[in-house]
Amino acid sequence: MEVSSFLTGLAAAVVLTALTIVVYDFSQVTVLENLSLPSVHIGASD
Amino acid sequence: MSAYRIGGAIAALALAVLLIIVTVRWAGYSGMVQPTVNVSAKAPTAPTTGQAATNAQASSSAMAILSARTRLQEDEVNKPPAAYPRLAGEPTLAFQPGVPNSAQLARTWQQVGADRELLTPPREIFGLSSLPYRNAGLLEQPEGRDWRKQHNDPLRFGGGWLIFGVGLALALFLAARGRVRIAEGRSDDSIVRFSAIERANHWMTASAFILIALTGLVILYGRPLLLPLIGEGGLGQLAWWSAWLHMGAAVPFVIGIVIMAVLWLRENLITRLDIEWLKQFGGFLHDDPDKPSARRFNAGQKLVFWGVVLGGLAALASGIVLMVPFYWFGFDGMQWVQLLHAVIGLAMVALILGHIYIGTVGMEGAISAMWSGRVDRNWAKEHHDLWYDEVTGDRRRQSATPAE
Repeated sequence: MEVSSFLTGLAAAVVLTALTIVVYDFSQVTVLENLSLPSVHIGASD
Repeated sequence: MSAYRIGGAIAALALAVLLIIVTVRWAGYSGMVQPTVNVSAKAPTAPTTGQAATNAQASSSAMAILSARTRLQEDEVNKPPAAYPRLAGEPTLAFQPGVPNSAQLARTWQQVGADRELLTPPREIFGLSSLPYRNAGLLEQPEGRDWRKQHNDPLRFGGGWLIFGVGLALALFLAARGRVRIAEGRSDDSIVRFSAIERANHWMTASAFILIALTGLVILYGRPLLLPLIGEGGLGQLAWWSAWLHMGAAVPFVIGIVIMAVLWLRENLITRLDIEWLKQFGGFLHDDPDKPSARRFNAGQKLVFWGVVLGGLAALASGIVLMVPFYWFGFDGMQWVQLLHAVIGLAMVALILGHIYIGTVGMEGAISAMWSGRVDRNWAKEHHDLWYDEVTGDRRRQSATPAE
């Protein structure tokens, strides 16, 4: 009884996360690459 | 001294060391951008007796100029553009073999006035690119320096300070106060506090949040902390999966928040009881059973509720903006949203650390509320007296309670 509600919640989180990744194509998201560079520092990085 | 207090003292010691390390590294962090091409001073021709001193001087000046220009991030904020002396003779910067256009680069870097051009107000230069995302053709974007400085300096170090600082405060509280006991001891009788649906939803939201928090920390701290340990290949794989899981787990997290809001919003509205509860710090500082009155949720739990609901929605809104780059905002807006998203995430991690603490080691009898759904009667009377009266029908205690 105690474990079942915890496992139900955990399983729901895992299934919904997996479904989201399968359904939505996250490969179009390139946020950090776009934000960090380029800047005026030619050949520089952080 | 109880095992909890000893454990708190040990944890406080470890967290204090970590906090000192973060502080020292923050104090020594320059934010300087280092060139990725190795360059050094070199005399252009075989020196004669007379030229040797001139070349050495020119080389030294060239390196001084190069060094100054790598501090443009700070110059831009702190100092006006500086004038550098003109160099005599040929370029004296030598690049590693294989760096394309090294002679031209060296001449450009040494050209008087080039620094002024670099320090002019930010401007963007667009070109052509075949990369498949918006703004890929943006070749020069000086605001990137500002974003990188904020991201690498106050955000990363401030986040470390916040997380270790909150952890240290909790550990010190445990060491000094010990666990908050049920003052009258366990009653061997329990009452229902949360239904199966409430608990399952709580654990779904909690699981998703832990996944989001861990992957977010990898995204934010992977480069400085994990790269030296697992290398570029390992970090690349880990960061890639972290980014996907971070976005994927947002769905169960948000669904869980919405269900929580539907189930618990009415009982989490702020009342005058909460002010009194906060004034007395929930009665956590002593073992007296006479704690400040509370209904089903006390002021501390309401803070967590509203922090999770409002923080979660703000993280969702900023996260959606980041997931659809440049749809609503340009570079400037995207950079602010990314910083805001990270700040919200770090604040929520700190908030949930406090929630986990008081729900587990910090308070006797609290974890069973979400694990089995039942709590000890004495625990309920002590911490949620008005709610206890409601569910048990104890009108005598209710009539003795002042109106809200």
